[in-house]
Amino acid sequence: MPSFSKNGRIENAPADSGDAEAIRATLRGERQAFARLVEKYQRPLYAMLRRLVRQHEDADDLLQECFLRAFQHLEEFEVSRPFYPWLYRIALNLALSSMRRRKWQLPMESLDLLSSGEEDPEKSIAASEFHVALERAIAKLPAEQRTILLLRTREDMSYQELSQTLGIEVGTVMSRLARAREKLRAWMRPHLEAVAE
Amino acid sequence: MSKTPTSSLTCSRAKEWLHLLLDNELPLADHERLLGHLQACAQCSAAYRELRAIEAAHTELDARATEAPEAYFDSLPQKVLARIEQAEAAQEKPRLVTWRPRSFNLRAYIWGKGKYALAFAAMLTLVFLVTRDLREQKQPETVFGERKYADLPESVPSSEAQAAHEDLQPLEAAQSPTGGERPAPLENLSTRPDAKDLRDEPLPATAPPAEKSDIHQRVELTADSERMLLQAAAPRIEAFADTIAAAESAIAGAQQFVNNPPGGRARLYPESKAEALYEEAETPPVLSKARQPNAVSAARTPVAEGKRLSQTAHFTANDSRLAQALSASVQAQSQTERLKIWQDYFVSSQRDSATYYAAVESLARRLAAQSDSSSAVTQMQEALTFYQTMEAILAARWGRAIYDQERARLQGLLNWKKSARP
Repeated sequence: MPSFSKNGRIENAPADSGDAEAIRATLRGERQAFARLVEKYQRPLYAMLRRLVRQHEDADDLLQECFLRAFQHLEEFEVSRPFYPWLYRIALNLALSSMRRRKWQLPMESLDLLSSGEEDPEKSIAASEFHVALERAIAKLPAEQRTILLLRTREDMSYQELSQTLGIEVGTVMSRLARAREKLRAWMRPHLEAVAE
Repeated sequence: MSKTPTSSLTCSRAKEWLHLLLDNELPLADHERLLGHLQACAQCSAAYRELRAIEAAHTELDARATEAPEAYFDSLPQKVLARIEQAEAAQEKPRLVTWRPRSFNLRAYIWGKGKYALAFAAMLTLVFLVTRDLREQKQPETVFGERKYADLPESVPSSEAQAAHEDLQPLEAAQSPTGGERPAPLENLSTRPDAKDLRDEPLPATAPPAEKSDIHQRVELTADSERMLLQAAAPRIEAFADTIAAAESAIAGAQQFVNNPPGGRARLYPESKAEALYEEAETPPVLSKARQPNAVSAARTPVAEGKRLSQTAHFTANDSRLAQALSASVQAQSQTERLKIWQDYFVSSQRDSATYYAAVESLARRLAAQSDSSSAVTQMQEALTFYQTMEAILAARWGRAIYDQERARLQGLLNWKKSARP
């Protein structure tokens, strides 16, 4: 089992011999071999998808679609290369398409999730309100700004990676990120004062 | 834009660098300058704190939001395998329609590319329905409507043609003993000395007596069968385009002849101009004259001249018989048969005016007298071309109103002939 970075990516991961064997077995018709690959990589991919699309149902659907597409195009995959980055790219592209296509939705469990972790009830309520407000503020962002902010913050992508992933110039990455953050700061200012108190 | 006294970094630049700092993209060499600015500038320092707070909250949000429901990962591999099998089963069934997009969305298709296909289908349906109605009507105008020939460059306005046709009425009335009633063709025929001679003397062997019965059969044609004939003849009339073009040249040549008649010849009167032209067209000198180079330029004479000539000659539209006659003439095996065809054509198409009868009978008589029958037939063909093309031009350009008038007139004539026959 390889170790994953914070965002679930494996930087410069070498080709996994176990992956290559499972892929060859899958291509020979052994479905359970592919099930082992799913079992191995489902968690980091789910985490990435969940961070980006927020809803569990959406992440689940995208994750299954990701593995389905990987299976359907497995013959095109070069087994000498690492398997996970290829899977990650499929999942990321699916997530980006979904984010562009769908209206951004707040997670239903926001309040429940955010109400824990704070001992002081007043601070807990304030923090919960802050997080809910932040979710709403992010939802209000234009799609292109929201997407790049989520990729930067939740996937910890560098400017260069964002540029390659989104097909835009690095300067555009910087300006788009700055505009998104300044909007969030303006919208969140009342809540920031409450949290600061 | 403010600038702190302790640093050369502006607030605007500092705010840009704040984002780079948050993203770990600010070069280490610039860290000290930015931190120095933040220590001196309360506004930028506050902005940095707010951005950091938002970033931290965002990170915390992600950490809590990525927890999957319990036992989700236990069942996912088998769910993926089941989905793969579903996809394969779905792919096997629609293999017959492999062109179809995998994620076909009917609504998106209709509002996307599909709208063009739908519009085209609707247009085809509309055209089909409209043309079906027209076909069911079976009216002659669908065959000889003016639109069919609207692209002819020398088209004559229908109003002008109508006026020209009305001009003919006095002439017809003058020929008719009953004024506005139908003329008495046989009487006209008998008034012509050469025609009477021809009737008194049996036609030469080239004109068998059986033709009368054929003519009679044609007279018995019903209105429906005539419409069918018209429809069947429509393509042939259209195929007359070349004939019309050649005939316009002949018309121009004839017009030139009218304007400059040969010396020594009596002046041509309007009533007999067409007949005279016809007779002249039979003679080689006129034909050669019409083929002279100056006749080529004269062929560019507006068709109005041809129309005027045809009006003088009382030509009317009767295209189906003309087409039939032309077709039969081409396929005729002998000169006699060809002559019969054209005689039949002129009579059965109600060209029983003095002009036509005299022309045909004169032609028949001359043909019979010709020793070189081959040459005579050639000349006859040349002369007939003159008439045929005028017929075709008129049929094309006079339009339905004229046609209907002529048809009513011919129908009256048919009735008259029926009652007059012994």
